[in-house]
Amino acid sequence: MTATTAVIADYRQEIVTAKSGERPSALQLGATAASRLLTETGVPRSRIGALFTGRSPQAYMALQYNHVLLNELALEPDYTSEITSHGAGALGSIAYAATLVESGAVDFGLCVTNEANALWTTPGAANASWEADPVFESPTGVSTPALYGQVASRLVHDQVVTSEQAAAVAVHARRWGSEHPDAWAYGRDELTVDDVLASPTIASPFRLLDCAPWYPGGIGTAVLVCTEQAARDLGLDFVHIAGNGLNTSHERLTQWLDSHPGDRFPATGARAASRAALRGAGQSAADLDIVQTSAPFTYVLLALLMEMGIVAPDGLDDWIASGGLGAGAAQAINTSGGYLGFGQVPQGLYLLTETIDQLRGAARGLQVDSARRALVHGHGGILASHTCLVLEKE
Amino acid sequence: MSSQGWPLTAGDATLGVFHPEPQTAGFWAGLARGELLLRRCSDCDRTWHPTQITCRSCGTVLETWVPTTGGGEIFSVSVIHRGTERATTSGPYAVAVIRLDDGPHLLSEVGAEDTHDAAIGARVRVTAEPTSARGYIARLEAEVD
Repeated sequence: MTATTAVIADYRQEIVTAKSGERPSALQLGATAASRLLTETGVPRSRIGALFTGRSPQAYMALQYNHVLLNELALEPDYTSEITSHGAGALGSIAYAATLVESGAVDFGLCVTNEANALWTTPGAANASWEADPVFESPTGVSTPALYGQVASRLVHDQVVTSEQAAAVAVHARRWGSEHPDAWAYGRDELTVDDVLASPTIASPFRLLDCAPWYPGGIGTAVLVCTEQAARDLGLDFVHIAGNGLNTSHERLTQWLDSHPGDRFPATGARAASRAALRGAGQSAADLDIVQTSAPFTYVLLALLMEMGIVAPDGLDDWIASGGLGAGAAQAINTSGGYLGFGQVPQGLYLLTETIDQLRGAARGLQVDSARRALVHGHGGILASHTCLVLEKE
Repeated sequence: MSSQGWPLTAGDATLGVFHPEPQTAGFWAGLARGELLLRRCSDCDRTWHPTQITCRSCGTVLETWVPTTGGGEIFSVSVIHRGTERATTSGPYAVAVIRLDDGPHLLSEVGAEDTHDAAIGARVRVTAEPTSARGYIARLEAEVD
C-alpha cells in the first residue's frame, strides 16, 4: 500500500428533466456542475492538474470533448483526455484521476461526465447504431435490446437465469427507485413479478419491464479527486477510493466469440475489473455493504452480479427469495434503482454519486444503515468495457 | 481497390473514408456474385469475419478471401417485437449470432418464415440474398427425419 490514497473530495451534479421545460446542452450541464464544484470547494483552477471526461456526449458530438470543456472552464491541465471506453469511461475517469493523484503527478483531478441525449435525440432509435457494426450489423435491424438479447438468450438457454428471476430484479429496482426523488421511478407504483411477465415483449427474452427506461432528462456530474490530506485541508467530507479496476474485452460481441469460441459465455471484463478493485482495497466481495451495477436489462444485471462474485450461480433462487435484491439485505444492490429504476443516462455518474451519498449518510432515497464500503460498477458497449471502484468511508 | 462506398463530407471537403471500408470491398464484390466470402489467414490457416484486417490469432495481414458454405448454427437469437420502425410496420423479426462451421460468428437477420422457429442450436445456412437488409440472410435448414 502506498502512503497516498486518493479520495473523492466532493461532487456537484446538475439534473434537468424534460418535465421542467428546460433544454440545456450536455456541455451546459457539465460546465455548470464543474464550475460550481470548483467555486464552492475553493479549489483554484490553476491547481487542476488533470481533467478527464467520458467520451463525447451523444447529444454534443465534438472531437476532443475534454478540450471543449477545458476551454469553457479556463483550465490548463497537464493531463487531459476523454476516457472513451464506452459508458465505462465515465466511471473510468475517476480511476485515471486517482492513479495520477496517487503517483504524485497532480494535486487535483477533475472528472466531468454529462449527457442530455434524451432531451435532444431519440436514444432508443439511435443507440443500436452506436453499439453495432454500422455496415455489417446495424442494417440487420438489430436494436439495443436485441444486442443484449443475444447474451440473455444464452443465459436462458444455459439455464443461468429464468424469466421469473429476472422479473424479480425489475420489481426491486422499481421499489428502490420509487423512493429516490431524482429517479424515473420516483413515486411510481410497485410492480409484481406477474406485471413484468405480462408486459409485452420488446426483444426476446426481454419484456418491456425487463428494460431500463431512458432517463427523461440530462445529467452533468463533476467529481473532485485529490489526496486525503488535501481534502482534509479543504474541510471536505471525502470518500476513499480504496481500489479500482478496468477491463475491456471486445468491441463487438462477435469478435469476442471469434477469439473465445469454446469459452464460458458471457465471460465479461466485470470479473477482472471487480477483482482488481477489491484486491486494491484488500477486501473481498463479502465485505461490501453496497453494490451498484450498471445494467440496462434485468437478466444482464443478474449475470453481472454473478460475474462480480456477489451471488453464486447455484444460489440465485435462494438469494432472491431471501430478499437479496431488497432493502434490508446484507448487501444492498442498486440503492437508487439502478438503470432500471433510476433510468439510464449513458454518462451521468449517478450510480457513483448515489454511493457517495450513501457512504456520507446523506442518501436522497432509502438510506442503507451504517454503510461503510461499496463497489460501483460501470459498463458500456455490449458488456465490452467495465470499470469498478471500491469506495470506503471511515 | 475501391471501397464502392460513399465519402464522409462536410460541405465540399472529404473528411475521410466512410463505409463500406476498403478492407471489405472483396466481401461485397463476392456478395454481388452470390458468394459469401470470409477472410483466411495464409499463415495459420484460420478463417475470420470479413471485417478483419489482421489474423486475430497470429497477427498476419489477411489477403485471402475464401468462400464459405454458409453452414452453421444459431449461437444466440433475439426476436424483435417492438422498438424499431421495421417491427412496427412489418411485425416481429429475428436477429441471431450465427456460429459458422468455418469458425467466424456473423450477426445476421433470420428469414422471415423462420422468425418463431429460430432457436439456439438450430442448423442454418447463411446465403447471399440481395433483397435482404444486408445482402445475406440465415435460413433454418430443413430437419432430417
